[in-house]
Amino acid sequence: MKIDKNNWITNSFTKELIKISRTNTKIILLDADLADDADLYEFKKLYPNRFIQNGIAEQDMVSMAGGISLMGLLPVVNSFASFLTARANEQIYNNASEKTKIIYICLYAGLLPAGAGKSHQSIRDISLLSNIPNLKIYHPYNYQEVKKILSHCINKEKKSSAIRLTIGPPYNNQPKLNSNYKFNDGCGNIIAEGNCKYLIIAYGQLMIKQALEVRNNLRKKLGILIEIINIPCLNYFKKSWVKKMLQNKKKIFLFDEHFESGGFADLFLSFVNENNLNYKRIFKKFAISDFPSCGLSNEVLKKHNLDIKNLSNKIFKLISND
Amino acid sequence: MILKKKFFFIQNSEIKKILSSSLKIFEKAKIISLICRLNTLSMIKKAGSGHLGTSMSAMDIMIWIKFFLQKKNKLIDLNRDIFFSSKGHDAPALYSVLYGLGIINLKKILNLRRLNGLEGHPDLATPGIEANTGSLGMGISKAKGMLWAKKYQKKKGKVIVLTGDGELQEGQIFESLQTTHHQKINDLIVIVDHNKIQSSQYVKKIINLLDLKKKFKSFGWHVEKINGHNFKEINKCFNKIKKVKNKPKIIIANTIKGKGIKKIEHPYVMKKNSKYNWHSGAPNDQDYANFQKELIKKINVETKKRLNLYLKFINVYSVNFKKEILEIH
Repeated sequence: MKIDKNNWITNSFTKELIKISRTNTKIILLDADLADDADLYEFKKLYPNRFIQNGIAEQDMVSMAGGISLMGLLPVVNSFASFLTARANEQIYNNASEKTKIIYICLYAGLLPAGAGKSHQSIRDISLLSNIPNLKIYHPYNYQEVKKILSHCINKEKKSSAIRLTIGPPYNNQPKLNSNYKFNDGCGNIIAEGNCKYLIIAYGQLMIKQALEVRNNLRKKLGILIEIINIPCLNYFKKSWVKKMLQNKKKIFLFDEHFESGGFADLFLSFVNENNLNYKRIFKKFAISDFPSCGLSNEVLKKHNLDIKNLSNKIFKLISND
Repeated sequence: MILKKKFFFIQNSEIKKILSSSLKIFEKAKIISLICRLNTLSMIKKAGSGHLGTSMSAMDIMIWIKFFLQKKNKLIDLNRDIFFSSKGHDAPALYSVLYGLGIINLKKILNLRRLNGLEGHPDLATPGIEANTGSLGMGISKAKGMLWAKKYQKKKGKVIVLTGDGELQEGQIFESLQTTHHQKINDLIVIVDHNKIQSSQYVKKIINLLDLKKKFKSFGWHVEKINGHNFKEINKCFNKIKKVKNKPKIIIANTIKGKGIKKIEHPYVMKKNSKYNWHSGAPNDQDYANFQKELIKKINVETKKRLNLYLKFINVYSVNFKKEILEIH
């Protein structure tokens, strides 16, 4: 039976890339033999002269993309996040220093699926990329948002972009974004409304699913609704928006599918601090502190204290005495 | 003539005169290469640091490509011929060539390794620089990207990239040798500045490259070997490989690290020392005066012989030493 992948992030990405490439002939796709994982061979079928198979040679592929962009084209570079952003990090840095524009597809970003183990789970790429000027990092929440982000990176953004893509199907009953949702760079969007002074900030389908479950548990336990915000841009924040988002919030919980050092939460907290937005607020981050474990999703989430029970208990303790 | 306590540059108007003279092309190349060597030496002395040895070994290849082989299109023309150095630390040589061509001005080369001057390794902010390099191993990959993009956009222009020999120890080089061949980017020309010294030691002592020709051939490349200081051989080789259409091309140019200044040429140095001590850093005042003297003498012999002209009396720019900029950084 053929699986319907229309609402998978990866497949939605590829569809949008194909759609935009119909009119934008400057887009060139380079692949390090991982096109299957996002059905990118569909692009090759339609635009064979704009698809470069570079084999398992990430450093060479990234520098080649650099050469292509120096000649005025827009390379889109595909591999797994763990290989692309770590092994070819110096090449990405070098390209960025040339102030050209390149889009890096960081497949398999994050902790899950956890079956392949630490060689493949990418939970340090945000820290590896965030020290590169002229580069923005995004992690779309779902199949709708990935289209908006890709379109933004190609059509509006002047800098290079790294787009972290979760692989695999969405979760059951995952809320859709409003049909009138507009992507606004540097800003997030409300996934679930709240009625209290607490806030969970998250990104990506896994962390937002965990946030929704935690919200549900605390509603049962305490009768309150915690607001959930999705932030798809991980290293660039608009001050006015952040200020507005934090208004009337006292305790803020950051869910980060990354090592606890140098991930989204650290970047966000540093921004808040630099801009004096932390006034009397308490921030708590939930991230990964050790090499990512191999196992079933639930086992691994539990091992890294990112399972629903653990997250709910910790947040409960932090707010129950208020 | 030695200009004591002065940095000594020959202005590019002299190069123009030589180019428009009735000399034969190889004679022109010879004199220009000496002038660019002197300017490179002075640039590094004034900066207080820089890579003298590799600049001198790559100089003649750069002179031939930039002055006599490639077309001089506008710098932003997508049809332009492209040359860049992947090893990048030979930037002072390339800067002296770009100055010679009038692409950058005297003020720039007087400010090597200074803020808003010329960067220690190539950067696109400098006119005539085609890629940010210096971190070794990326050049062939970038060059094949440029050529691929030219072909896709139906643009003209050749792409030549220079590598070091120590640089060939980088893994990315071998990724790019495989992919260039497989992707049929056959117009690419790579030149290896094979001066046989990396940093202060023989390449074969650090990591032996063994039979380079055999290696490159096994990767599917057309390989030539030349003397990288012989303009006639360089020219002949470029003419020969024009006919090779079905393979990317690599020229192993045998060169001498420090070529042109006897006391820093590697065969001379390595006879006396166990280490090559002119890889980086500026010469002291006495050495600078001696090297300057040697190059000026050579320039005068050549120009007197060929043009009956002493360059030393015309359009020479000299700057007094300043203590603050002689600090090693």
